[in-house]
Amino acid sequence: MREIALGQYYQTSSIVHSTDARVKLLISIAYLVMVFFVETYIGFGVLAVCFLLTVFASRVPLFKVLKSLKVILFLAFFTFLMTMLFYGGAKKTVVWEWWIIKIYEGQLYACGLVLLRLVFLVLGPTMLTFTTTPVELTDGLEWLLKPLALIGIPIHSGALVMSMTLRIIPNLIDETDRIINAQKSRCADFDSRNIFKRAKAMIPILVPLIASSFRKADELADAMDSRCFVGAKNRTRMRKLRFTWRDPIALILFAAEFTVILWLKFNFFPFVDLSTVGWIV
Amino acid sequence: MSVTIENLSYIYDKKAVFKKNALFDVSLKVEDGDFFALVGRTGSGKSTLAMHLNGLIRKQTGVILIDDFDFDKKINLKALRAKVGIVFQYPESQLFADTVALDVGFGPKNLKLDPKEIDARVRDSIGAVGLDYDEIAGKSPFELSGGQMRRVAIAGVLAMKPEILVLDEPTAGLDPQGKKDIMELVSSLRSSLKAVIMISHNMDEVAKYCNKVALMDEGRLVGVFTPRQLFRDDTVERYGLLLPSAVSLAHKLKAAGVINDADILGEDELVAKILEAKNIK
Ligand SMILES: Nc1ncnc2c1ncn2[C@@H]1O[C@H](COP(=O)(O)OP(=O)(O)OP(=O)(O)O)[C@@H](O)[C@H]1O
Ligand SMILES: [Mg+2]
Repeated sequence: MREIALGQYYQTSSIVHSTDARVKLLISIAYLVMVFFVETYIGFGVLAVCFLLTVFASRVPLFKVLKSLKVILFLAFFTFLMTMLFYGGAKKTVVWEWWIIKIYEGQLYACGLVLLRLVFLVLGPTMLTFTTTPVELTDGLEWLLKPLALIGIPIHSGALVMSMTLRIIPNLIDETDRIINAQKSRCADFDSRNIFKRAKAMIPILVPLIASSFRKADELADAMDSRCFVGAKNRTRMRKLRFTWRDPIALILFAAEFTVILWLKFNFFPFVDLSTVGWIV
Repeated sequence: MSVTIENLSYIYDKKAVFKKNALFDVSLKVEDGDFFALVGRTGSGKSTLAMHLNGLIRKQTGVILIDDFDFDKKINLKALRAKVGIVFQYPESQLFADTVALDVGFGPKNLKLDPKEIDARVRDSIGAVGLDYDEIAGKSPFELSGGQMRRVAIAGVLAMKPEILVLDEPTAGLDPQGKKDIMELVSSLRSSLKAVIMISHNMDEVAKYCNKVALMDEGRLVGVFTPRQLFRDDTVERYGLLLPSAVSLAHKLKAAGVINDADILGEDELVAKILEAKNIK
């Protein structure tokens, strides 16, 4: 149980890790937008190269990053099926044929693009969570959402709740461990094949867990009250987010990548004629 | 039915860079009739050892022999857990059912006993922990006082009719009277059990109730002693524990020249020693 690392932060020191969380957040958001501008294989090639460079710079093992793609395996398969079934594009060259099923060249191209888009949409945020601790992330988010405070949304309290939740999760995991062990000692069966039995077996874990969470939350609230905690607004931090020389560099590099992607899409430097390389598009 | 443990070692995280033995080369034997104490400072491996006894933790290296269970092969966990009952620290946190009777009956129900037998066992074990069945059986466990909840939790383990009862700090977090009541309760259970193994940080309890003490430190077994042997000198203090209060007082009295030797265990013996010394003088 204890293996469930929170998020998936990969502890090491690298330029990517020490880049400011706010910058990484901004880049990640822009990255997601950028992925939607990529419509060609050469575009994805550019993304792949930049991505590999980032992974390399972050010192996170590549296979670890790629492992995160496991979660979209099903989705990917589904997407594949869908583009195969409902393809409305050009039906010229048949690549493969069996009975009434025909697979066209264009179909494969289209499907590949959709899958690649899916893959890169997952990989971006994955890199963010691999290189940024959850605490940095909440701090970063709080900073980015600051403008919302102007219209009366309690950003600080929200951020405080987030960071306290993050802080409590390891304790909850420990507690879950303990409760599971206690119920196992009373011969509780958690490995039944029957899904209904399995769901029912969760009750002896969930009830005590929820009860203890409420108790802990109450105690924590009392502890904060008794130390005269008045509000999250002027909370100070042990680790302040600081912009450094790395941050503008990260932004410039990302801007360069984005420019290339946009150029590939809109072709706004007409002196290089992209259409001459026909297979790209 | 004795418990034999030989050269037992255990590492929680085998993949970790800094491997730390939670248990290292522990050998001990618990015989029928023993009230066996496991003591040692926080993190010394007591709970890890206890969890081996009913198969919550799978043995890595070493030998465990309990009755005819062969821990080297695949064991019938249900049968083992019915034989070795574990009451965890703060067992009240494992209560979940709508009524006390249902909660106490959870173990027997998992053992697939017939309803009559379950009912009989529930009655017996609620009685055995000193609670009134008629008054309490229909209540929600969450309405009870802390001390009552703990008794109900212990009853839930007793209802499986274990032959060996393992208790992890059964008196933690109770008031002095509550501690005493629980210890008297455990002591009264001895006649119906083959052996009791108790993890404790309270040396007064160990001195008063147990006949053997295993002292652990950093996953290693320092030794198995009788309480009298163990508390004769300051061994336990070197391992981060305290002497029983009567023994500690006797040492002070001896240093002050009031008594000649501090070879006592309980308060009564100390009183006798003092009286003896007075008469001689
Ligand atoms: N689930 C776990 N995963 C990894 N390490 C663990 C786990 N449980 C315990 N440990 C480690 O194993 C060692 C022994 O822990 P254990 O819980 O057996 O000690 P203990 O003697 O019961 O301590 P305490 O008196 O605090 O209950 C400790 O160093 C602890 O940090
Ligand atoms: Mg423990």
